[in-house]
Amino acid sequence: MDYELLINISLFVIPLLLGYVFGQWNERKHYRSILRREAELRNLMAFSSRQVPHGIGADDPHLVYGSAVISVDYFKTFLASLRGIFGGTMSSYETLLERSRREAILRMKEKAQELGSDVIFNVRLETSPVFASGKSNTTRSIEVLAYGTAIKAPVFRG
Amino acid sequence: MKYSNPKPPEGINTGHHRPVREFVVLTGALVAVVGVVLVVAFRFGEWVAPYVPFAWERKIEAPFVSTFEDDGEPRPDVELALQNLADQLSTHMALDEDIVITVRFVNDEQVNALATIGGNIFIYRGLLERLKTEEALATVLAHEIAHVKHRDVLSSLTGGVLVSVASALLLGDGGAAADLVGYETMLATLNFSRDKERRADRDALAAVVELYGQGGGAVELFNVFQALEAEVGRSRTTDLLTSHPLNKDRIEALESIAHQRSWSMEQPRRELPGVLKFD
Repeated sequence: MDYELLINISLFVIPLLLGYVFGQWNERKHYRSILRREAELRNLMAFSSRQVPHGIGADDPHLVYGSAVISVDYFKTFLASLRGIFGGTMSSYETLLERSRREAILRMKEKAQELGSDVIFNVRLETSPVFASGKSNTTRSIEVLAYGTAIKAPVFRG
Repeated sequence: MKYSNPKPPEGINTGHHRPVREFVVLTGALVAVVGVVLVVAFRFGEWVAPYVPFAWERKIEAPFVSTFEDDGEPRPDVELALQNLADQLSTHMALDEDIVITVRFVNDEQVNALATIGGNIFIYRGLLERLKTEEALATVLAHEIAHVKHRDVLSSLTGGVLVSVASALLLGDGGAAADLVGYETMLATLNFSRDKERRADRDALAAVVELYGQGGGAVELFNVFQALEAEVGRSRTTDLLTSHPLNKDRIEALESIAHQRSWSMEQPRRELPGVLKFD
């Protein structure tokens, strides 16, 4: 009985620490990768407009998509659940969503590059939560799917 | 027309986030709010318990009593002897008229004794096996009777129920923060419980001194517990995590009271009656 609570408390503190250390480390690493790949793919542009502008010779359309599933760490889940009580900006989830969106767009662009496309039109983003189980306090992850129509158009050729 | 894709600045959506600071501020706020709720709930429990008619406690006692009942061989002879001793002690403890003490024997090797709702006191065989004298046993019984007298179980129960309701309202299904609230509640409950134990110790000593003329039974009792502590390895570091004060502190506290009131704390002499001897 004496040590039970002590063990329970460590079971609570250790994931929190691990979540913080590894979560931050992963996030930094991910952002570095995102920035590098975004610079590489900067010339392959993506537009949300449905129509290709007039007078552009569009050729060889392909559906391209990229999806990213990123898990929130325990530390962020904990911060978010505190925010769930007090309200306010859920900053801990903002980076998670931003990383997922940018990663999904990057993967979509990488696909378009493989196909030799020059530009992507009609880009759409979809976000959905992925729960490890029905319980609300389990670690959550989210999926972001980016999709669009990649075309060959010499005007956009970097 | 020429299209270009300039690099937008970083940190528009994110980047102002200081997670550790947010964690410290929000956790601190939650701990403080919950702390206030805990104090209010348990103090309310303590305040209201004496006003609740004892008959109400007896009406709801069944599930509490059955929790501790064992499947061991029933020993009405043992229960009778324990009951007689408890009745003798009760006359020295200024109980309210409506309070009824019922002593039950649990034929189990655990070294334990407890009081629950409705004035029901459970004495375990494991405890009787370790005790040598009637005075030590009387100290246990008087301690549990003191819990009944002060309605300690009802007061903890009321506080606990209020805390559960408040945290359900405050946290909803809780999320990860509910764990934190759970630990805080547990620590606070143990802390309130230790206060009640100290009071029960004092009352028990006073009753035993009145009945036997001296309080050495208490010393024997806590020495037994201390020996037991050494067996299971309890120490100062885990002191915060238990419902009862450390036995060394309990002995010291009682000896200081005895000293103030010039009560004698010599070696107890009365052996346990035969029917209560287990070894």
